[in-house]
Amino acid sequence: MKVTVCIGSSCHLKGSRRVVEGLQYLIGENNLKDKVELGGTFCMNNCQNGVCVTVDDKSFSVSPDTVEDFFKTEILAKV
Amino acid sequence: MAEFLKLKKSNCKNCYKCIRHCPVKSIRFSGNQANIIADECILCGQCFVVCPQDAKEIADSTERVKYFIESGEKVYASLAPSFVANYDGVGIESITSALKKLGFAGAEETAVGATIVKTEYERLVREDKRDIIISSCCNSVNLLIQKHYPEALPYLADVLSPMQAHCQDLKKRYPGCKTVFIGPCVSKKEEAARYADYTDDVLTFEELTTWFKEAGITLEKNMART
Repeated sequence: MKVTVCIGSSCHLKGSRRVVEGLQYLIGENNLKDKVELGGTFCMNNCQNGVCVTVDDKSFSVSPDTVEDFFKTEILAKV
Repeated sequence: MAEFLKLKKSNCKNCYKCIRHCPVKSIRFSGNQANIIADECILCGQCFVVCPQDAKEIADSTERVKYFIESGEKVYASLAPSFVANYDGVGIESITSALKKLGFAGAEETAVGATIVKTEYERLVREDKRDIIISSCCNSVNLLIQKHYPEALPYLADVLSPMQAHCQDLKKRYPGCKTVFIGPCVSKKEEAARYADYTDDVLTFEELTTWFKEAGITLEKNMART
């Protein structure tokens, strides 16, 4: 499973760093390091709906406050 | 070097959190107060973000920009495209109209400068003999290399940043104008001061928001492009 987080300026302002750190922690905690590849990307042109996160080409809007729920429903449940 | 990121003495409680998070350790303690060493600081802002006592402050340029406008100068804003993330639902037309109410002659997204700069990077990638090119768009990265890793200088692209390219272009198109960059970044204040020919001053989104509020201007939520 490939999870990509946008690290462009607008998503940065919306907390992409905390989203990345949150996902890194949750992936580690759930021992999914060899099943989930976490990467960053430049601007995905969807600045109003940041932080932009894709899971195997499906797009989502995540915030530092929703990252745990997002992880449970889109990553943990589907990996 | 003027101080863009400084200490609010009365609030510092000598807890050392700032220096623990400083990536280049450019903070010293004396008299039980944290002092940022300007010569070593890369203006990343981490100390400002982590300080639990709100003891760091960012230099405010609002009065100087107001002065440009009040003295009759034509002031153009170079607006960082990330303004859409800071001002939800507000498009370029809406924010330009609000800036004109403050007295700006006009506004353009710094993307204009990015387009100019991108062409130069394409040329570098095509013609340059170096196997590594570090882009020079981020002032803190530039300061990190200049102050702490000078051995990497040969790889730092000698290309203007989008802010500088845009402001240079604005001054060509509107001779005699003043240029003000508006963005989320404190480091750009230092870049503007150091390369004085391009950008006359820098306002952060926070300074702009405060100014809009003081002037009683609300931003219309309108993403439509004409």
